[in-house]
Amino acid sequence: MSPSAFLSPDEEQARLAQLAVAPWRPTGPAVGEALAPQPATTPGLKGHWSPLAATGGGSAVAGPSAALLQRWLRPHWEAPVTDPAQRRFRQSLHETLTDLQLQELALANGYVTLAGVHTALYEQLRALLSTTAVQQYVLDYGYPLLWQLAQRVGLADELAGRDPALRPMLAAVPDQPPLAPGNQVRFASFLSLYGQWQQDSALQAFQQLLAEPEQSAGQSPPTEQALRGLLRRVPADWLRTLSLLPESGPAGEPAGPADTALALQAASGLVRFVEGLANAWQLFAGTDRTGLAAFLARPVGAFFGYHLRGQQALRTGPDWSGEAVAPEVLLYLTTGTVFDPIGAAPETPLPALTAQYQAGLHSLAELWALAQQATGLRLTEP
Amino acid sequence: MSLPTRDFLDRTADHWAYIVRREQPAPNLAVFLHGYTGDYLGTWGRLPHMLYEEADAHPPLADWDYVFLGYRTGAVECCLDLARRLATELAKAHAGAAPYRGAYARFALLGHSLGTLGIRQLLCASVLHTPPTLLEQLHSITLFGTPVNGSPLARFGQWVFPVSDALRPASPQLRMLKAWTDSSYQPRRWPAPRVLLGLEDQVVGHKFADLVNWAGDEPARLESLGHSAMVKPTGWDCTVVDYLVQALSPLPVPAAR
Repeated sequence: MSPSAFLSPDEEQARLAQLAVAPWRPTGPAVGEALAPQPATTPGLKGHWSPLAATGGGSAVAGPSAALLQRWLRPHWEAPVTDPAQRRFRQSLHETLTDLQLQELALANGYVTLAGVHTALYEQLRALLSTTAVQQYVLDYGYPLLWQLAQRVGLADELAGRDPALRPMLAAVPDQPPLAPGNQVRFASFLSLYGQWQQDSALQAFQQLLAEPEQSAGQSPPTEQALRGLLRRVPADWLRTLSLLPESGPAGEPAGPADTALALQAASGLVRFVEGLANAWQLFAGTDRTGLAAFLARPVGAFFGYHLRGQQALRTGPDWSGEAVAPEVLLYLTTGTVFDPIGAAPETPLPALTAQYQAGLHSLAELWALAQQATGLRLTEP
Repeated sequence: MSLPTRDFLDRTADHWAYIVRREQPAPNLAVFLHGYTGDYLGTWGRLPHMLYEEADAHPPLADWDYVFLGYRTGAVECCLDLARRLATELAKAHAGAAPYRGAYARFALLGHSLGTLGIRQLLCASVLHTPPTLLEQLHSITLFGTPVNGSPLARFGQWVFPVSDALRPASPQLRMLKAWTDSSYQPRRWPAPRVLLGLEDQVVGHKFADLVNWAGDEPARLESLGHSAMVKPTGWDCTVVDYLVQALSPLPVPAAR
């Protein structure tokens, strides 16, 4: 069934207008400008350079050479990214690519019609994937729904014809399942959760830990060490008083007050991460969840300790699913309650909370398994 | 696959979604309001798409349209803000003003957690009643996981928004709301709120229901559910759907003399 059968043009226009101001839309200026195809006479905006210019798509825009752009978008595992401007640009690009994946998910679920967004998406995607450095970035870091989107907007043949390296990805795009009208509502519920996540500081703190540090590959940030220490060892008095530890505990324990405070927030984010993704997973129960799994492949993979290198999932991070989250921490983070002595109260809800958390982990494991299958990921050890 | 019998209007940035009969709007509107750090659709799990897909096959749900209201928790300071948000929508829905497709005659209010305090505030703040006959137009009131006496969580650091004050046990805002409710209920009356508490609810608990009575409430019901799970249906045969059906069922006709 075509979405136009159940989605009026007025409603679609209203949705698109609302999505344009959604809190997760990319805000970085550099890539935002790059997305908008510029006529050759358009001068550079605010002095930012554009990948279009770098590839000759906008000759009047002063920009870096293709070589410079490739250097900026290099795989961080080959050379750490320390320059703040480069990191901002990479983050902006990541947000843009994630947003495009989200739009593919919206199309796949009938939340918007292809007719309503085709031109804009075609131009954006073409501009991005025609830029060699961006194309390589996408191949390096893996944004699986982009290939599906390329096929949907009619760009696949052009890309495959021009670049043989893209053919395997484009050929692997699965057939789309028939569209059910109710999926638009499922997707809307997912969007509402997603918008909430973007404004959840605890969740953001945890997701920062999940993201592979680009500037110091191979070294655990102090916050991660602090969080892992906090999760394993639960001194009741920290939690009861929210007091902070003194400086420099042994390895694996909080290193200082700031780390402890951030770790406490990230621990709360961990619990919300599991709960939120499990809820999203349940929203789409009974439907083909391949697209959702592909969209969430990166964060859920990182949760299990894997970071994406194209179609490889390389274990480079901690496996948070295997992290021994002390039940007492779970209790505290979920209810704000501390028992004295911990867990010994006669009516402790620890078993129920632990079971709920474990059920969430089970959903995430299902999600990760489908994400691997959906994107053809190969798990590898370093 | 047949065409859906309902339209779904979604306004992400406005935290608002509306499920309306396609051919002709229903005469009644059920209004949902989420809780602290919840969101307008996600809080209710599968309920929105279940209603979209199958409400018309499940009497009495077919006689109702549905609106899911939301807000950014950090943007509200007190229960009055929530009540005004609710009142604004009810006024539009009563008048049939855009984006509503019909003028609704009857309303059912359903809230979760903090959202239930917004509903309580609306009931007693008559200055917000547009139309003035609002209370007479209320068909039912259902409060899921209502903080009868706040939440023990509210004193902890992770509850960072100003409206957390309303959720602190025995907080001034909560005491004021309760006194306001007690004094407003006597002259005005509204349908007895149906209160559902969860035996597994670690957020607002359930034991205060034995100690704190809000004017007009039905005796609290206790189900073996957690705070979040109590508003997320697992299918058509589940507690939240049972309560929804009760909330939307026709009222018993008074016996003739």
